[in-house]
Amino acid sequence: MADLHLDRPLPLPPGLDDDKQDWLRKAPLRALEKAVTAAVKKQVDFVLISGDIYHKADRSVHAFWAFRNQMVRLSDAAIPVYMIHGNHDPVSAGTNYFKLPANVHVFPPEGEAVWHWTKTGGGWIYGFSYPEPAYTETPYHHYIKQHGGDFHIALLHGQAGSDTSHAPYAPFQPSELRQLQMDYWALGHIHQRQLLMEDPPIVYPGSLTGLTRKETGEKGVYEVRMPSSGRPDLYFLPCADVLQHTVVTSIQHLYHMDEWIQSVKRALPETEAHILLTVQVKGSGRLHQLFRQQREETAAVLESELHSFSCTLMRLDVQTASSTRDTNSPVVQDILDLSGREETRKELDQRLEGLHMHGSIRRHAAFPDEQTKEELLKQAADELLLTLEEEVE
Amino acid sequence: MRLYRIHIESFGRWKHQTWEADEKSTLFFGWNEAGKSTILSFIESVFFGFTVSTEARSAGSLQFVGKDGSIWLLERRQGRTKSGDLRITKDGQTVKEEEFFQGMTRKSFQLTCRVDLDQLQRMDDLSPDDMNRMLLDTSLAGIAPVLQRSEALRKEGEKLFKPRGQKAEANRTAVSLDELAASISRWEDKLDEYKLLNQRKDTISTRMAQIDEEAASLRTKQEEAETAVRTAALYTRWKEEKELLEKEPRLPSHARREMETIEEIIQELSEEKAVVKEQFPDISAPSLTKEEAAQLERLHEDASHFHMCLQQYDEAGSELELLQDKEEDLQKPLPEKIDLTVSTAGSAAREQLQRLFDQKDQLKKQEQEMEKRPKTLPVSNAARTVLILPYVLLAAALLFGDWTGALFLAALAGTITLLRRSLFTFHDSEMAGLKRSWDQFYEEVDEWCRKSGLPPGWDLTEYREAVSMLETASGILDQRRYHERKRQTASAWMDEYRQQADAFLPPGTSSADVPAYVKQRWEDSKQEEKTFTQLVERRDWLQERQHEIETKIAFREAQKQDWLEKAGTDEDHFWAVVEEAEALRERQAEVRDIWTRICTLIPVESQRTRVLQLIDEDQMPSPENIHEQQTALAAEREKLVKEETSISLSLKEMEEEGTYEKIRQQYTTEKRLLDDLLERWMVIEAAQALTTTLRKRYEEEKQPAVLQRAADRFARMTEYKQITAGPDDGQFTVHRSDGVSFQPEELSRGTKELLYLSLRLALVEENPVLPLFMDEALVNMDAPRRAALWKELADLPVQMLFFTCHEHLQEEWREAASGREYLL
Repeated sequence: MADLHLDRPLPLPPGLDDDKQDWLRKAPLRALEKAVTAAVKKQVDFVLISGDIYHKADRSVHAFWAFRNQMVRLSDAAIPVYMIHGNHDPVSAGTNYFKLPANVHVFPPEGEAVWHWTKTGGGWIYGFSYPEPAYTETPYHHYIKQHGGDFHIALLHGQAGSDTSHAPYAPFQPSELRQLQMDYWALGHIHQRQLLMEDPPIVYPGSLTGLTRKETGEKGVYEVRMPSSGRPDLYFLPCADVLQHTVVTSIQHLYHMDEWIQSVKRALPETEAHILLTVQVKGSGRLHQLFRQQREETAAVLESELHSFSCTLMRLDVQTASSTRDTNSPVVQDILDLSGREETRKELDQRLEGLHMHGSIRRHAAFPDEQTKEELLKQAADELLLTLEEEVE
Repeated sequence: MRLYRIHIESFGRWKHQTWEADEKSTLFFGWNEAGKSTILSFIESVFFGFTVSTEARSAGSLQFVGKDGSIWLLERRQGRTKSGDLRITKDGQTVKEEEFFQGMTRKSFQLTCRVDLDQLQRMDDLSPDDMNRMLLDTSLAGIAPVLQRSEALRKEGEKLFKPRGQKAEANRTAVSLDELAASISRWEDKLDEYKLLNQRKDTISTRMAQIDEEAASLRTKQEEAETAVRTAALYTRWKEEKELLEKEPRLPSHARREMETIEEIIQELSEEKAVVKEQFPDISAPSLTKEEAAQLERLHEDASHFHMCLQQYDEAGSELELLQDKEEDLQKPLPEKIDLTVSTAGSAAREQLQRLFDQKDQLKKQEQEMEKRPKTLPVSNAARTVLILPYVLLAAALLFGDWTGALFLAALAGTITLLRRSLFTFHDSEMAGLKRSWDQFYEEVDEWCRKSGLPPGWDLTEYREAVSMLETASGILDQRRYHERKRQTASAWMDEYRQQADAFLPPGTSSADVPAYVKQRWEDSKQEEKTFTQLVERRDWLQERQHEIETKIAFREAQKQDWLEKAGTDEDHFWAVVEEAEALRERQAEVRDIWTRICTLIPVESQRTRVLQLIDEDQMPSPENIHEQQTALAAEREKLVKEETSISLSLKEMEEEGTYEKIRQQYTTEKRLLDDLLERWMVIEAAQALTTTLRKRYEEEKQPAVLQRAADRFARMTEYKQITAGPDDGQFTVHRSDGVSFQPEELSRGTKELLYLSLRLALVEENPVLPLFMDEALVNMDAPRRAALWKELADLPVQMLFFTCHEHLQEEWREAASGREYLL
């Protein structure tokens, strides 16, 4: 497993009651507990954790306490744990609040190879922890293959060179990792589950829980069975009882809200997990005005309609476009023309100065960049064009 | 674009109705509820959609004639949707809506082409600013709906955020975030101290352990001081007398007991020795020698055999007498010539006799066969036997003395003999052969008699009887011989036994009593021998015991001598020495007892050492001083316990409750709310910015012409000469011909309505896309203003449709406008 981020808050919508908010917040802790339960039940040989156990490691006392409790469970079951620290919980953050039980081995920043005994022999496990939050060197020198052993397994918290979705921490190329002749690469850092290479397996198990709306789908851990010869077999074990899901809908050709609600329901995944749902509404059509002018009411109606599902509506993202944009009305053309003009941009800048003037807002809110302002004006034009839309029931 | 025909297929109260409009002016007159407003509402609905329920199945069309003479048909019908589907054709060809409306919307329609009483009356309710804004917006022609929307957004935006306010939603959220951030900051400070708190907790634990040790030490000191006080007197006495312990008594403590015991034992042994001496027994030799005793032993062992011989002797005698009787009984029925004792008939004679019987039977059979033949009567042996049988039986009867039977048999035998002689006379020749056989047979019989010692001439049956008797007699004779030998053997053995036993028997003892006397004599001998052995053993034991006692006495005497040597004195002074040693020992015990009491008071040696040292050095600590120290330590400990409890609670809260994470979650949620609110607010602000620039463009490019046209109409209808809108603040002002200026709100109601209508007419004139619809717009005006307005309307180059229920307006329309009139 990797990227537990046990103490990371979820971007929950306002208005949830405290109990539900707490339950959702504790989803990573429950996922860890479930993963450990599975490990104990299956009596695995050992557990690998590839970094980012904590999200805010310098103050993760509670998360550490909860993590240690689970490690004690593994200790009671005589299951060793090999773990490394990543960019979110580097060694410098001082995560040694408690002493972890003796079954947990934490790889040091300088890296090491550890021998693991098995019933039939043993093998080498390699890894290194981030000394600081930023580690931008290539990591290859930490993985010098040792002699002997039935297996060679490497733990690495890093970024594949071709992936630009995250900061380039410990950047590597899968082809280079293959040169190091390991039998299995247990990766961390990228939250989306993916298999970079099949032989040897170079695997991101993904985050243990979907923490942002981009981290969709089932989340959990991999159970890896290593035969005496041949490639390891990977079995994904879902652990998270909360998952992120995004439904993209279009209002094109829709006449009634009911039709749209049904399209959302149809797009919900079949799962026993609780769904944190993000709904995107795109396209142009008769419902555009309704979504634009009554977004809150529409979201409330949707939430009400989803009541029978184990589901929390995280966000109703309305991106519908006005159909009047395409008309040759002078007013419409004037609005669209002016929304891109510098004079309008300057007018907007003046109006947004109010944000800077407000101390509390300045402390908590991010100010829009030029691209965002452009988007704001685009949305503003749509807002004004709403008045030109044909009214719908 | 001129409206040509209105056709209602179904709308409200109207079904399948058609009205054609005048190219200049059309009036729909009717009382209330006649359907005027329904027609106007139908026209607007065909343009922009029905707003009534689909159940009404509203439908209808409008037909227009373009400037170029083209025919436009707008047909709307409710179907899936409430608004209904609009189909526009130009000269029969379907065209896009936009081609007809050219940007016109329901709102822009209502703000330009439709003038109704509500719009005019609403002006009375507006604030000066709002009225000014409405007039300005109206003057801005086609962007009026946009400006209205912008205004609505502005109000929405004010609810979301105000740069200087506190009540707006984002402002309140930001304050809440401030509080959460402060809480997070406090928690972070607290969590930053987590390790320090743990260290402090360890320090406290260590210090508390030290305090406990110190308190224990103080308690020890206090106890030692108290113990020293209690022990001092004893310890002083012990020190004074402890030298006695170094002296060694001349005799050990057990000397008295040992010496007394030795003397007691010597006394007891001496007395026992005397008793033993008196117990030696007198022993005399046994009456029989060993040989005699052995002889008697053998006789005793053979006594049972003597009994058996005696019994055998008697039994043999009895048996011989019985045999004698049997022999005599056997001899009696035999002829005297047969001496049973000498006859030799045995088993061989019996067998031979049986053969003779068989032979005789054979011969008799031959005789009988001969007597049966006609000439020669064959006589079988059986017959012959029958013939002979009476004789034999007669002989037997005579032998046994049965005279009656003998007579009967004699008669029978005579008869048979007579019969036989008559029979045999016929068979002489054959009989001769048979007779020879018989002769031979009788010779063999005689021979057998000779060998058997029996007299000849008897019948074979008699011989058989005799042989049987002889055999019996022979058995008797054998038995008699056996018993005689047995009797002789027993008699001989008994005689020998008697001869050997005579020495031990009283004279005249009968043979039958011999074994009893032997047994008695043997038992006496055995008893005598046993007594003798016991006395010898007793004597030997007493001798051995006497020797043992003497040895013990000697040993004890030696011990006694040792003690005397240890005491270094003689027997007379020994006990004085003992008493001296015991006195010393008693004092030593007292000293030891003192030490024991000290040890009881202070059992632990190290503590005892310290306490005695305190007594020796006379440096016992002050109880008050100890108490002060104890109080100080207790206070410090209590303080530390409180601090440790507080720290433990804090640590537990940090570890287990996850409050920090909960607050961070709340912050994240609130932050998202703030972001959402501000995003919406920024969109609204962007809309405001866009509206501002849009308004500027319209103010600069289009408003002046509209204002000028409106001012001209307004001037014609009133005494006001000019209408202006402020370049900066947009303040709307009307200027009277006498130079006095007024704000719109300062005008009379009728004048305000004319001002508004001037702007609306100017706008319609500016963009005459659709006809002008006037719904009771002139109701509130006085007659002069209405007249002025009618005049302006007559000049307006736009198709107009009027709707009224007022007859005076109907009349005025007829006078000022004329055209097509419908009475509903």
